[in-house]
Amino acid sequence: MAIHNEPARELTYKIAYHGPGMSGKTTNLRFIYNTLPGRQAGKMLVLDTAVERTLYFDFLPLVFSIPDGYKVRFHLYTVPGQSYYDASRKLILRGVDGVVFVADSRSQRFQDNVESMEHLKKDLSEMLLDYGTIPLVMQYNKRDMRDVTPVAELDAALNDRKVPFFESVAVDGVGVFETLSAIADAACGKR
Amino acid sequence: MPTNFLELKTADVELLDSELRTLCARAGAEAVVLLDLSGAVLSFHRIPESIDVLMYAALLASNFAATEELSKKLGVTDFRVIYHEGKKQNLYFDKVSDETVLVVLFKDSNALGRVRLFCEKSIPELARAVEGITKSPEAAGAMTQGRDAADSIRQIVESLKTPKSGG
Amino acid sequence: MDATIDIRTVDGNVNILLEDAQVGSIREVLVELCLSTMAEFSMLIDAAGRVVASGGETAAFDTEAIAALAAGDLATTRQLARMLGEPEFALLFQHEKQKNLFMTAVDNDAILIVVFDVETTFGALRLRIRRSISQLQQILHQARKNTVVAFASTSDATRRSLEEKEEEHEGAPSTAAVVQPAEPGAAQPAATGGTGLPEQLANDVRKAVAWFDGFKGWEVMFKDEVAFMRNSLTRNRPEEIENVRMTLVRTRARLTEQKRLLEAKFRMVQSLYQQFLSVLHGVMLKAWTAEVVDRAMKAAFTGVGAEFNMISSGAQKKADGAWTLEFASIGKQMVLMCHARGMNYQDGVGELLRQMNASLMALSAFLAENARLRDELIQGWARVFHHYAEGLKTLDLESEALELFRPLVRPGQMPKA
Repeated sequence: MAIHNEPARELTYKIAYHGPGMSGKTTNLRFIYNTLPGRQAGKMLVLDTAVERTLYFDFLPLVFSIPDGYKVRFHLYTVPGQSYYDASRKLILRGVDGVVFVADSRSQRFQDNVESMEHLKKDLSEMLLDYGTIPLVMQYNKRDMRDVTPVAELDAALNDRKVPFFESVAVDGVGVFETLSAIADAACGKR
Repeated sequence: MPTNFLELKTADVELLDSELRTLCARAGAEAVVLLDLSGAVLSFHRIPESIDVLMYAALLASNFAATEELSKKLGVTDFRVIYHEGKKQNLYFDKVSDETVLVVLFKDSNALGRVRLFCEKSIPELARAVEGITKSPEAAGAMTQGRDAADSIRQIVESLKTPKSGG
Repeated sequence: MDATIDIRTVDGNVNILLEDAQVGSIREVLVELCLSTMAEFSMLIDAAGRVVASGGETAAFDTEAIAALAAGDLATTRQLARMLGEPEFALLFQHEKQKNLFMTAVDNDAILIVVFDVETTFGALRLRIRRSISQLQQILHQARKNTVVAFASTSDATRRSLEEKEEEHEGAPSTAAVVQPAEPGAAQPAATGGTGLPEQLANDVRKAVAWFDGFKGWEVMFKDEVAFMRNSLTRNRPEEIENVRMTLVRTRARLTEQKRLLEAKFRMVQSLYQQFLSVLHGVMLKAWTAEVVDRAMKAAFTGVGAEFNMISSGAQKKADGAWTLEFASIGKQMVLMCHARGMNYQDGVGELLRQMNASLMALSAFLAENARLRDELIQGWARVFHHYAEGLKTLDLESEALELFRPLVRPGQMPKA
C-alpha cells in the first residue's frame, strides 16, 4: 500500500525484487546505489550470509524531488531466493506496490526460475495481494553468460501476464535502470 | 495498475504526532515511532539525529514481522509485544493494529513497567487514529507526482547510455 | 567415517566442523536444558538459519521455518543494536497466555533458541540458560581446535590478500561509491592542464587510473575503460566530459561487483577445500602412520611444480601433526601470479583450482592400493560436495569442482550434485 503524506508532500512506494537465489537481485540494488548521488539514494542495508546470499532482505531507499515540491520515494527491497527461506521471504512482500522478477538466464537455472515464480504467486496470495493485478516487471538477467536460455523461451515460461520485460547484465549495470524505470511507471499508475 | 494509497491528511498527521508526543513525555522515552509493517513510518517523535530513520523503520518492521511469524509457528495466536533489552537502551514493540506497530526506545530498563503502562493507554487512541486514515485506490492529485518521479528515472536511463557501449 | 556439519557465520566463513559425536553432545546439552527448565524445546542454529541440533518436543513444529525466521530476526536485531550503539540485544518476547521465546547468540557462530511456556518464570531460566550457553561454547571451542584444517581469519584475510596494496594507493575506488554527477546545465569548472576535463573529474580519473596500475589483475578486465580514461587525461575534448564521467561511474560500480563476486568465489573454494582436506586427512590417518601421511601431504603440496605454487605457499604442518592450508598466503601468491602473468583475478581462482587438481593427483597415488579407503574418501567427498552444490552452482564453480575429483574416481563413479 503506497503512502501519501499530504502535509509533508510525500509519496512512498514499496518495490520488491523477487527471483531465485543469486539471480542478481542484490546486484541490481547495488548498482543503483553506486550510481545515484547521495541526495537520491539513501544508505543501503544488506543482510546476507556466507558467500553473500541474502539472508532476510536488502533495503535501499530512493527519493526524487519533483519541481512542484513533492518528494516521491521508492523503497527497494530484495527477498532471499533460496526456498529454505520461504517463511521469511513472504514477509518482505507485505504492503508491496510493485514487484520486479529477476530471472537467472543460465540454462541450468531454468527450473529454479519457474519454481521461484510459483513461490512469488504463493507468497503474494498469502500476503493478501493479487498476483493478477500487482504492478510487475520481468528482468532476464545474466544475458552475458555463455549458456543461456533464449529470451523468448524464458518469457513464454515465466511471463504469463505478458508484462514488460528487460534483458540485463546487472553486474555491469545493463538494464538495471530501464527495469527500475518500468516498475516505477507501473507502480505510479502509468501503463 | 494504480496501487492502493494510505492517505495521511493534515488532521491524521496532527493527531498521530500529538499522541506520540504525549506518550514520549509520559513514558520518559528517548524516541517513539509508529510504523506500518510494510516498513513505512506513519509518525515519529524525537528520533536521534544519528539514526537513519528509514533504515531504522525497515529494520523495526522486519524484526517485528519475523518475530510475529516465528511466534505463529510456535502456535501463539495473540502475539503483540517484543522487548529487546540492551546495556544502555531498550526497545519495546507493541502492536497497534494488524498493520501497524508502536516502537519505543528508552534508556532505563527499570522503566519498562512505566513504558508498558503508557503504551497500553495510548494504543487505543492510536488504533482509532489509524483506523480513521483514508484508504483510496488513487492518491488525490498525487498521480502526476508519481509520473514525474518515473520521468526522473527515465532521464537517468538516458544519461547512462554512452555511445561506445550498448547502454 | 564421521559425518560433518559445518557452521557458517553471518560474516561468511566456515569456522567449525562438527562431528557426529559433537552434535550429540550439543543435543545432550539442549535436552538437559529442556528437562531442567521445563522448556518445551530448544534448538541450536547457525547464523545462516540452519538447524544444528535440537532437544525437547520438536515434532509438532516446523523447525526449519523457525530456524530461518530466527536467523532473520537475529540479523535485524543485531543491526538495530549496532545502530543504537549497543553491543548485542538478547531477544526475549513474552506472552501473557501462551508461549515465551528466548533467543541469543552463542559466540559468533550459532544461535540458541529456547521455547518455554508461561508457567516458567524467566528469572530462574536466565541462570540455567547461561550455564547451557557456556557448555555449548565449550563444545564449539573444542570443535574449532580439533578442526584439522585451519581457516585464515574470515573475509578479512582474503580481502587483505587480494587488496593488500589498496591501502598504499590513496583514493582507490571505494566500494560504496556515491557519485555526484554535475547538475544538468550547471557551469563546468575551468579545465586544467592538457586535459579538457574539469579539475575534480580529472583528479578522480587520475586516481582511478593509478589504482588500476597497481592492480593489474583488474586492469586486464577493464582494459578498454582504463585506456579510454587514461587517454581522456591528455586529449582536450570537452564534448567527451559526460562520457568520461559515465565511464568512471560505471567502471566503479562494475569493479565493486566483480570484487564481491571474486571474494565470494574465493571463499567458496576455500570452504570446499578446507572440508575436503579434513576428510582426506582423516581417511589417511586411519591407514598409515603419521610419517607416511606426512610424506604424502608434502608430496601433494610440493608436487604441483608450478612456478607460482599456491598450494605449497599455504601448506603448513602444525605442532600437533595436523596439516593446514593458510588461504591468506594462497591469496597473496595468487595476486602475485596474476600480476606476473597479466591474468585477471577471476582466472586466478581458476588456476588455483587447477593446482588443487594436481595436488589431488599426487595424493591419489597413495590411495590406489587401498580400495576401501578410496571409497571412503569418495563418499566423504560426495557428502562435502553435496553440501556445497548449490553455492558452487550459483557461482559457476560446479563443473570445475567436479573435474577436480576426476583423477580419484573410476569412470561412472562421479559424485552427483
